[in-house]
Amino acid sequence: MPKSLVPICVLLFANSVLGCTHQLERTVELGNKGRGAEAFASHLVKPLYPAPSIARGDSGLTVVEIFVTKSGHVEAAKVLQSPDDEIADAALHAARASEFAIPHSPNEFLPGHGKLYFYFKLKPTPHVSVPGDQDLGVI
Amino acid sequence: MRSSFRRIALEIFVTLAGGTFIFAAVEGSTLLFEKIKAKQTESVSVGEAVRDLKLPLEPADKLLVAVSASCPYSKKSLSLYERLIPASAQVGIPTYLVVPDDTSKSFYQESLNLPAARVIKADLGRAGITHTPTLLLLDSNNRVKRQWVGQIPDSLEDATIARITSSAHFISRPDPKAIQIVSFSDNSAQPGAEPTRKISHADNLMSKASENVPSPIPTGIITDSSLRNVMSEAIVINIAPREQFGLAKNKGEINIPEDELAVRGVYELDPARVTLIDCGVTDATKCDMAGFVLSNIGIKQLYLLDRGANGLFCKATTTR
Repeated sequence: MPKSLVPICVLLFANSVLGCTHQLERTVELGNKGRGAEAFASHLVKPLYPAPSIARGDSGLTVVEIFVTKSGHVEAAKVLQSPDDEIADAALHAARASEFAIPHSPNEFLPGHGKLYFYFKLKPTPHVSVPGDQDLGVI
Repeated sequence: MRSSFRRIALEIFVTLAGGTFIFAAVEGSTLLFEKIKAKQTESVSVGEAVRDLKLPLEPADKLLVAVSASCPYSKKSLSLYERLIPASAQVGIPTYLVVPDDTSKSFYQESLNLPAARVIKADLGRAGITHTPTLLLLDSNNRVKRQWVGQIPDSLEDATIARITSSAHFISRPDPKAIQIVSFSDNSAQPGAEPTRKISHADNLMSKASENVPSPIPTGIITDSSLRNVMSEAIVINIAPREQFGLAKNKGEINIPEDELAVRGVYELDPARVTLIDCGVTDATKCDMAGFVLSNIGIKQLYLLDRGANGLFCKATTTR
């Protein structure tokens, strides 16, 4: 085999190996049994209810889609729905500051993908609830 | 000495350039292939236009029937089409038949007595039709308004004709039984052949258990005005993805996408209230799953609105 072909073979081999590893990497769907991604949070940051939103009487659900790395950090977050822009910003900041743990084995963690649900409620006093909170009854 | 260095440098340069070129070519062609393959196997959804079919842009809705002569469920649907096509024509909805091959073209053109211009031979996969038989109700811009995938069960034939030819709706109870149905690949569809895949069932819509229990709302085919009355007393959930919700919603519905139902249903729905799942923009399997999820979280008075077909089907294979 000509010497010049050796690096080409190495490159092709590396490409196929990288491709295979990429396909093997699993992403866990975060959410089960009536809970969203918050069920996997090691440190869940709840958003603050923005004062202008309270003044306007804006309330309701904000859904944030998150992508979590193996180390538990949120690498990407996107607001899917929100009562207003200020609430969306607050929810986005909270989601990015939260940390998650998706154990695969005692020493191994996996990346994950899921949704965080923040309910911004005005009554009895303005507050934010997440699935699993005692105060989150029928809206 | 210098010439030997030059030769080595040249060899390294050629090697790297060649390697990079081959790497880019392999990677690029793989990506392109995957992209084309994904596009071909992706089914068209409500709100999207059918792809690669040269359909005329007409001022009215049109009906698209995708069938294949090698699919037994397409053939078994002939009696429905014999009623549906004239009924649609009467209300100004023309029918176009889309078939994957010449055998199917001549078979259905003769069987349904359709003009040649209304029978289109096309690559179903490219058009976004992944199964046969499929019924698509398209708007004037050839965007999908409603879809029915699979052979429509006998019990749903009248409801389907009414939904397409008038503004009637169909309300049913979820089927608590998960009865299996099977599908065959277009190429392997043989009478008496072994099933290749198990899905779910929907032949008997009305739950046997609930047949004798008086229903707080009318079931079966209902008019638009009756639906408005029902909606004033019930919670109506549309399980379409957010981006599709605006395209085909009824007034007064709330949107909880299918994948969020198990979480949000617990906190946003009142188990004591009559709850309708609007299945008008989703397929019947997803509709049934949504019914299963809501039953599991304790919704007792649950109904399905405009549940589509969930009958037997064949996988539509790509035309060569």
